[in-house]
Amino acid sequence: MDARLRRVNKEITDCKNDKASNVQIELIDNSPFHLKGTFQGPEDTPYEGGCFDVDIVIPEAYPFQPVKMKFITKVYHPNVSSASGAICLDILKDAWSPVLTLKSTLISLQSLLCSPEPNDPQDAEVAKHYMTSKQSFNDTARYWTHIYAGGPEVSGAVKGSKVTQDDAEQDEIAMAGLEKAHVDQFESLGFPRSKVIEVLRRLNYRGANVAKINEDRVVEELLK
Amino acid sequence: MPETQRASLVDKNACEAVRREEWEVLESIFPDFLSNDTYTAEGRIELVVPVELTEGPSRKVVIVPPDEQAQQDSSRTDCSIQPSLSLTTLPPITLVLILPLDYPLHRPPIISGLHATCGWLSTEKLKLLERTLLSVWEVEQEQGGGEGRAILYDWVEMIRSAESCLGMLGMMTDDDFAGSHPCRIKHPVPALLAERLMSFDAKTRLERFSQTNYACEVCLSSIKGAKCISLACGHVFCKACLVDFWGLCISEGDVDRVGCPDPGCVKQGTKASEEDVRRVVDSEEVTRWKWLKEKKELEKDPTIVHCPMGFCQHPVKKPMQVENGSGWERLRTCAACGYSFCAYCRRTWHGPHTNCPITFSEEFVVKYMGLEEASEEKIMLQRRFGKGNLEKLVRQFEEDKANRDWLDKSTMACPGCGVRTEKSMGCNHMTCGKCSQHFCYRCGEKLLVSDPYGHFSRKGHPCYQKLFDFESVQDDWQPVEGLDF
Repeated sequence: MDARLRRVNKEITDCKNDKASNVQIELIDNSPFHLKGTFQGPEDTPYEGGCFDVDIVIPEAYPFQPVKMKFITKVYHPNVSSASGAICLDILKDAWSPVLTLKSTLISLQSLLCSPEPNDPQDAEVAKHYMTSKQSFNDTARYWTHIYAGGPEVSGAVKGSKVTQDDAEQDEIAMAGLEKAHVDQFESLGFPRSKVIEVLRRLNYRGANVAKINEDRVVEELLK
Repeated sequence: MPETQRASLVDKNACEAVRREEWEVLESIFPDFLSNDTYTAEGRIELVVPVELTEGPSRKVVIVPPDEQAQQDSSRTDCSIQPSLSLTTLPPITLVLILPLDYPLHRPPIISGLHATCGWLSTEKLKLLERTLLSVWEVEQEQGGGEGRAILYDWVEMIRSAESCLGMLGMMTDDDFAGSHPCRIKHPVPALLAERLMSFDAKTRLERFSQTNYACEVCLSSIKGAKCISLACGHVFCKACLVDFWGLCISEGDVDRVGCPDPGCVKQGTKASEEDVRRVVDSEEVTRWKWLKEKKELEKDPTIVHCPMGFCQHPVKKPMQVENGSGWERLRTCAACGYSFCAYCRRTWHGPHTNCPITFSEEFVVKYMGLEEASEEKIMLQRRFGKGNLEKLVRQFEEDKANRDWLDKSTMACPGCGVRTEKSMGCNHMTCGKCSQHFCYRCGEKLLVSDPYGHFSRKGHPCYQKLFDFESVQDDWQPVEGLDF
C-alpha cells in the first residue's frame, strides 16, 4: 500500500517543518514504519523538563488501523505501564480515526501526562499510589522524570538528607515512591532491603495508608 | 470639419474608451457571466447572471400560483401547502444588451433581450426589472450633470445579490432577511417550477463543490471536489481514501467502523448511511456491508443458529410461538436458502419426535483412526459406512481438532456471548466487541463494569498483578528445524 508510505512521509516532513510544536519524529531503523517520537513533559506537571521517547510502529493498514505506540522512556503514570511502557488511551484503540496523525497522537500522549485517569489505569500499583497520596505520587513521578527522562534534579524530601555512600539504594526507595524511614524500619528487622521495598510498594505503604496497614501484616508479607 | 461634429467624435472616442475599460473590468471580475469571449466594437454584450440567494447554507423559497395573488396577504399561512424549497441559487437572468456608440455618456444600454432561465420571473416582473435597471442609469446621468457613466458592473451586482434583485422586484421584503419569511415566486405551475429550481440548484451546488479544492485529512492532500465526497455529516474526504477505508472495514467484517473518519464522528459512533456507502464502494461491497449489518443485528439474539449449508451460513432465528419441549423448538428453516434443519444436530429436519440421528462421535473417529490398515474391523466399518464417508469424517475431525486447538491456545471466549477473541496487544481487561461484556483475557472471568481492574489486584487470584503479560512472544521456545534427534 503505497498510500501508507506517502502519508507517513508527509507526516514526517510536516513534523520536521513545524518548528512551533515541540514534537519530533525520527526513523529508528531506516524504515518509515518504525519511528521514534519525542516530546517534552508538559509544564506544571511532575514530568516538566523531561524528554519522553515513544516507540511508534505503523501497522500495515495505517491510517485505517491505529498506530502502535508505547513509551521507550520509563514513565511513572497511572495510564502507562511502569514495566513495559504500554499505554491505555482510547484513541490508540476503539476511538482511533484515520484523521489522527502521528503528531496529533503524540500531542494526545503529552496531554495524557497532564491529566491522568486513575479510574482506567494501565498500571494498577501506580494508580493506587496516585489515589493514596497525590504529593508522594508527584515526588516519585518527578524522580522518575529526573532519572529516566533527563528532568531537573529533585530537591527536598525525596532525595534524603544524608546521601553519600549508599546513593544507589536511596534511588531504589525513591523510585518505588517509598520513604527511607519505613524501609529502614523493616530492614532493621533483618529482611533484605530489596524485599522490603518490593513488599512495601505492593502494599502501597504510603501516606494515609501507613496508618491503616498493620506492621504484622507487612512482616507476614515479608515472610512469604 | 464643423465644431459639433468634431466634438461628437471626441465624445465617441471617450465613450469607446470607457466601454472597453468596462468590458475589461467585467471580464476580469465575472468571466463566467460573459457570453462573448472578446470585446467587439459593435457593443453587443450578453450577460448571464445567476441570483445567489445566500452565502450560507440555503434559503427558503415558496412558489405560489398567480391567482392567489389577491388573497396572498390575507392567507399567509397558505404558503405551507405550496412548495417550499431550500435553495442557494436561482437560475440566471440573461441580459442581452446593445451598447450604442454614445453609451455611457449620453445613452443607456439598449436592453434587447431579458429573460430568466426556467422562467421563474413573470413577464411583468421582467418588465419591472428592465425599468429599474434603466432608471439606475438615468439617475446617474442626472447626478452627473447630463453625462451618464458605465453602469454594467452595478447591474450585475444588483441582479447577482438576492437582497437587491428580489428586493427591487418586491419578492422579498427587508424583514425577510431578518426573519424566516421565505422569498416568494409566482408561477402558474408551482410544482413544475419547484422541480426545475431544485435541479438547477443541485447542479450549481455540485459544480461549485467539484471546482473547490478540499484538504483530505486522511491522505493529507488537497484534492478537487470532483474527486471528493461530502458525507451526510458534512465532512469532506477524497473518494480514494474512503474507498480504501470502508473497503478494508467491509472486507474485515468491521461494519461498525464504516462511518465518517472524523474523530468527532468516530467518538459518537456515527455510522455511514446507505446512500453514502453506495456512493463510495462497489455494489458487491454494498451487498456484503448490508449482509454484515443484518448479521450483526441478528447475532444479538442468542437463539440464532447459522444455516449448516456451507454456501449459505445465513443466521436463522428461533421460530416464534413454539412451546418448549414439544420438539418443534429444534426446527429451523433458513430464510435464505429454504433448508429446514434441526438446531441441535444441524442435520436435515427429522421431525419433532425422532431423536437426532446418532452422530459419528469423536470417540468413533478416534477408534476408526486407531485401527490398523486393512484390519478386518476397519474393512467392515468401511463396508458399512463407505470408505469415502469415513475418510471425510477423519478429515473433518482433524480440521475441527486443529481449529479447536488453535482456539484454545490463542483465543479466549467471551463469557457473555461466547464469541472467540484473539488479543494482539494491550492489557488483559477486554470489552467484548459484540455484547460489550467486560472480561479477563487470562481466565475468561466476567469483570464488573464499575471496577474492572479489581480482578487484577485481588490477592491470591491467579490473575493478581497480571493486567499485563510481560513475556514477549519472541522469547518462547521454538523448535529448531532440521535438528531432529
